[in-house]
Amino acid sequence: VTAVCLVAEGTYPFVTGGVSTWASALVASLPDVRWSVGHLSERPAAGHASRLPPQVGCVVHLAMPSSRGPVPDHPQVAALAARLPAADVYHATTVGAASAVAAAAAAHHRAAFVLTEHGIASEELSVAGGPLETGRTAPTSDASRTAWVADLRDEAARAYRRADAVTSVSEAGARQQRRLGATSVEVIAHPPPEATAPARRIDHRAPLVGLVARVVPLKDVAGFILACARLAAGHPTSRFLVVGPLDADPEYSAECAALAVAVGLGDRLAFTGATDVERWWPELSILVSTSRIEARPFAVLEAMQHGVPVVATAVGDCADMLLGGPLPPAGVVVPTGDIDAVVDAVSALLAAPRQAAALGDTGRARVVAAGDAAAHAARYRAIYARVTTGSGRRPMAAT
Amino acid sequence: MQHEVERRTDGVAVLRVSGDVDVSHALVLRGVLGDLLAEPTPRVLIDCSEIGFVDSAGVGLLVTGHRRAQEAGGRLDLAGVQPAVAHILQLTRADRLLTVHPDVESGITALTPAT
Repeated sequence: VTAVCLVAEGTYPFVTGGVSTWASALVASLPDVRWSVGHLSERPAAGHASRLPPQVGCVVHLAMPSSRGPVPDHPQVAALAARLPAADVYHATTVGAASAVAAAAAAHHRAAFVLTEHGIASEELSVAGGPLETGRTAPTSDASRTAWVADLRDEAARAYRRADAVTSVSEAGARQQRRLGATSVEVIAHPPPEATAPARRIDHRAPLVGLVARVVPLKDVAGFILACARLAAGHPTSRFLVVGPLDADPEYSAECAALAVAVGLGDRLAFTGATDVERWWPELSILVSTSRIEARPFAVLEAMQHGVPVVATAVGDCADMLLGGPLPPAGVVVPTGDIDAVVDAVSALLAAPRQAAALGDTGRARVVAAGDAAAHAARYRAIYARVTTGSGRRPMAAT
Repeated sequence: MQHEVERRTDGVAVLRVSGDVDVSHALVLRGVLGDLLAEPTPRVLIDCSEIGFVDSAGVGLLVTGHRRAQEAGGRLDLAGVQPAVAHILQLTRADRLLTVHPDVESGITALTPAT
């Protein structure tokens, strides 16, 4: 039995999103591992967004000093790491505070340090300034943001040197990791979470076009709304939905709500706020992903799993997920930031429901072909075995 | 993106912006507009003559700023919009909401209360 401490900043198990979904699936699929969680955030979160299975022995909240930069300084890191429970492996889920604390805890306990990245924090911050899934937002001045990006790139290079194993959930993320200094990256593409949604019940007379994401600038929800405004005119019975929490960036959420009203969408566009996403899949006719940067988005994966055709920007692994390999396409890929292309692609699918349904059917087949949770878990089990038996260990570099 | 604020004695604030108004700079512009629109009955003119591109985040900021100004009994207008940006505003239907003046002078005249 191996003891693994997941070290997460701002995400698992309190905040919903891709990292939490991934962590929940990983913990659930390795029930014989003794899990603990170190949760880094500026203030303790209330309740558990992710239901914790019995194999999670404890969750330790590590309160971080606020607004001091994306990575705490060395004494702070050491103090935070000392509060983590003993484990064989410290597995960080992001670069930044989590990677620094996990590496320090591994050194302290003579344990292994594993790093898995979803989005690449420095690159996401350089695109939009945040907020990232970790909850971090850079200061508003361009100079400060540039400094934060540089700090995160430095921490990435340091973490890659210190880690016994570096993994990415996407090929696109792995390429960025290598650019930032990682010499060895294992790509472990995650499967979709187990589906419990009932059969689809699309209303073809009033198609529902949805975006499933946190309402933050990185997801370009404003771009989706502007596309909807133009689609609404050409498809008078269509309806639009933004499925996802509004509290990650309340000001941006308010801007999006005001924009929807201003462009005349009225009650044809709704925001669900925090919700059980699963309940919406059967009703969505098309998923639109207007993200400006992604790794391997769960929303696209889940849409494919539920037979929902996808129109997605060409970010992260989206093109490969939807178009790559021998199977027919499961959606349409458009250039990032190109609202015209989104409108054209969605409009074409709304006008051809049979073609849209065929894309959805292929999506299901692609997800099945991509593997399951057991295969995914086996890859992490092999990594944990390798780094704890010594064959994958390297001497820890000086900090 | 660079910006500069001129607070005029006639009560109009002219916000001169140059470069691209996109998601990368939205946080900065959000802060600047937030300050200007927090004043009672704000009258804000954005000089767009040096703006080369506006993306969805920028359009969202302009439309939201316009709405906030109206709610406060004030105005937020644009001046000197270049053809490429005018095209984006038209495509996104934001041109139906935003008042655009040919140049800063005519914008200031329109925003200055009659005495």
